[in-house]
Amino acid sequence: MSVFIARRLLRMAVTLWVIVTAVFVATRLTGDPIDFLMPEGLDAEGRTAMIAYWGLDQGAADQYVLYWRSLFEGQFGLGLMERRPVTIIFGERVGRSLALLLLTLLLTIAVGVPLGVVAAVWRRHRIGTWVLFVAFLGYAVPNFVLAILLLLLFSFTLHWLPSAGATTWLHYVMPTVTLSAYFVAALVRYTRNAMLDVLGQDYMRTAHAKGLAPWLVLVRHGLRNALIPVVTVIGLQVATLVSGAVVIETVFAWNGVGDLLVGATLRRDYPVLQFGVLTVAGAVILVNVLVDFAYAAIDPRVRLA
Amino acid sequence: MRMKHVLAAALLAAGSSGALAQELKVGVQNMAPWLDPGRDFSNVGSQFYVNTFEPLVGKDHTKAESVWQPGLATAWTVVSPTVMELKLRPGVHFQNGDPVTAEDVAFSLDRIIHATFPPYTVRQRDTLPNLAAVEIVDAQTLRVIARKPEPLFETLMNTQQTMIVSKRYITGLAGKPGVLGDADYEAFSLKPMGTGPYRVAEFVPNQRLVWERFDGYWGEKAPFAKVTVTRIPELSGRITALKNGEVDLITNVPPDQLAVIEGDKALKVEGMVTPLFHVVIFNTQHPKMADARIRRALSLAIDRKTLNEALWQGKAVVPSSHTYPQFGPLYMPELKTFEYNPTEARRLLKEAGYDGFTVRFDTAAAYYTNGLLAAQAIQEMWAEVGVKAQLQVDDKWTGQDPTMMARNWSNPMYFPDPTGSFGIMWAPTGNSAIEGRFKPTAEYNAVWERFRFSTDLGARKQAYTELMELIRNDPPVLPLYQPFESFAMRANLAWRPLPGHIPYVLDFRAGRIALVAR
Repeated sequence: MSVFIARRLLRMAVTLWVIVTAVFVATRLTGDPIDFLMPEGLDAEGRTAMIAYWGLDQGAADQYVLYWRSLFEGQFGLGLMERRPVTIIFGERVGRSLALLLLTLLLTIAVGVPLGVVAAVWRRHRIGTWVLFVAFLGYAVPNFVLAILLLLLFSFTLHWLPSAGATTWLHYVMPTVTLSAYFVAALVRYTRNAMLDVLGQDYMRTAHAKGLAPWLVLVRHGLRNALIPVVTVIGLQVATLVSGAVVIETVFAWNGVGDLLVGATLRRDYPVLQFGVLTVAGAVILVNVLVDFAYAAIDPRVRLA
Repeated sequence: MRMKHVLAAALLAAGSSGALAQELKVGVQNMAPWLDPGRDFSNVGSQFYVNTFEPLVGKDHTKAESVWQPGLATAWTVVSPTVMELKLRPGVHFQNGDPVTAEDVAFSLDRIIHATFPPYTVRQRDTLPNLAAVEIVDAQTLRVIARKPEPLFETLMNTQQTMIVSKRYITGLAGKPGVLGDADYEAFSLKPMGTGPYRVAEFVPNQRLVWERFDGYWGEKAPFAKVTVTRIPELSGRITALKNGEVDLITNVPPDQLAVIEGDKALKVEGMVTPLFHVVIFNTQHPKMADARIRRALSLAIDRKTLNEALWQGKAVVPSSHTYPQFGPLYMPELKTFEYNPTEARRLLKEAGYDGFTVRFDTAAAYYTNGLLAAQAIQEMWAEVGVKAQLQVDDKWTGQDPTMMARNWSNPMYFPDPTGSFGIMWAPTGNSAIEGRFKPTAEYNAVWERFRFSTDLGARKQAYTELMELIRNDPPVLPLYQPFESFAMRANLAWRPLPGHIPYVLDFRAGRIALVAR
């Protein structure tokens, strides 16, 4: 167990290092924040003063060394635009974004897995066809189009739901549904396929033959075996979920982490971008570690060693 | 009442309280990353300062031309061409309860005039280069000393950059107690505090600003107990939030969306031609663009009236010269500096021996409303007179790039005098000269000096006429139009943008906004 954890942690550290370095290099190759931050019409002396003010007067190699040194000291730097510690800038926004992601994940699992089972069991019935059709729609409609359609119906026309911000629970309804749509669709299809594989297995026939109730066969013997690939998919989808949230946060004026990262990318706000990628990558890696643990819980043959 | 409406009312009550409460809710396209009137030159920041801060010299903002009024100074005299003496208003308090003293006023101006904090040095260069010192005469009297004769004392003491801040408050914010440093100014820009009728109760950079009425305000109290300004970046999001009753007022509504608002009886639109030009600039130092005849031809080939009709539904204003009504006696629409004449453009191109080279036109994708569309139309208009143009779309500023040939830009009015708009961009030490795309001649510099520092109005008008003639003959810039800026709001809100402000200001002071019974 401890060897497993140590190995996972080491792999996680290497992955993080690769990601941080790649972001460090990529952002610097594609543009200079000075082009976006510098007030117009400054003479050479003024430009030099402002470049020093932003701490951009050192070469990329020095900045890289300095960045790692301050990381080990627990310092993540000041945002170039806001001139505040990036930890505070993220701290103000991360709660809303996390809540949105968690709710979306919960909704996705709560709706996607049962619908997938339904689609598999009733695959020759009209219900199964309809479930697949709706899932297909969820796949096909881009999330920003769905967002605008929902806004048009529930805010613009019916005035039932608030459209901008994240102050009450009602504000969460449309962003969560929009963000879930695609992932519910994906999960329905994965669950259905996994269930179809399992339903044809010999042990399912055995379970039926020994007289178990049909729902018990389905849940204990069918779903449990089908869940392994489904859990893998959920783990992989978390990263996609984060990028989907970027669009949704803009449309619903969420002012969350995704929105912050887009702005930081456009303006090459290095400290914000680096910290953001570091935390998002960390979170995705963590989720995948949790997925590994989930395998063990679902399938007793998987041992964490 | 139908069930749907009951449900809707219940949901809205949970979500927002609307304008009937003593709260105003505003949805803006952009929120500032920090707020300090002294260092800020941005269109985003300038929306907000007028409610929290005040300058020494006040102004009647309902009028386009400058009508000065007592501000934090009750009286002033220009003692000599280089000295202005001001009497401070007694009994004024900052929003933290501290009285406003002569030291605070001297400090407010000194932090820019003798700037050590880099962002302030930028403003010293572009706004207050002619001011040398501030002297405290006695507890109620100050003198502002200029280097050269200053015809614009009132104008400069009315700018956003010279709004009054508290020395004691700023000094105590960060770093060593009692010692002023950059950290104090940084901290101030996150916790701004002034003398105006609204105090900043909460400021979350790039997201939200909450004002509360300042009960100790010396003048008429603020009409709203609370004003919440929230960033809603998407246009559809802002319009939906307004329609849905989540906000009472929204900014940045482009002309093609006005019909959506106007079709709803509960809503209305207020708009104004903004004292800001969208312009085309030419790099006079680019070898291919050095011949003034080529640039004149490019300027003459652009049909700005058609651009206005096609892109702004005719609501923008096409100027004849680089001039705004806000200049008062210096507003000179009679000058014919810029015109449309494709025949003359073709003649000039032939005379200059235009060899068919491609003109690169740089534009950002979405920075200026209709900017990209205008660029595409201009490309076609140039093709009409036989000039090949290629669009380069990039969000990066290329004003200092020697390979830039032409691009779009804006020339806002930072304060109501040609010095504060044309001058910021085109003075001998203005943005364009420093960035190297405009090289004024000795003659131009001499005329500029006469314009800038003459204390005689007639002499200034004469000099500006000459400057515009020089610009006409050797053009580095073509103002396309003054955009029409629209705001949408609930029909029972009496508010409109005022012509006496710089662009985009959201003035929510007493007498400037009210809820009216329908």
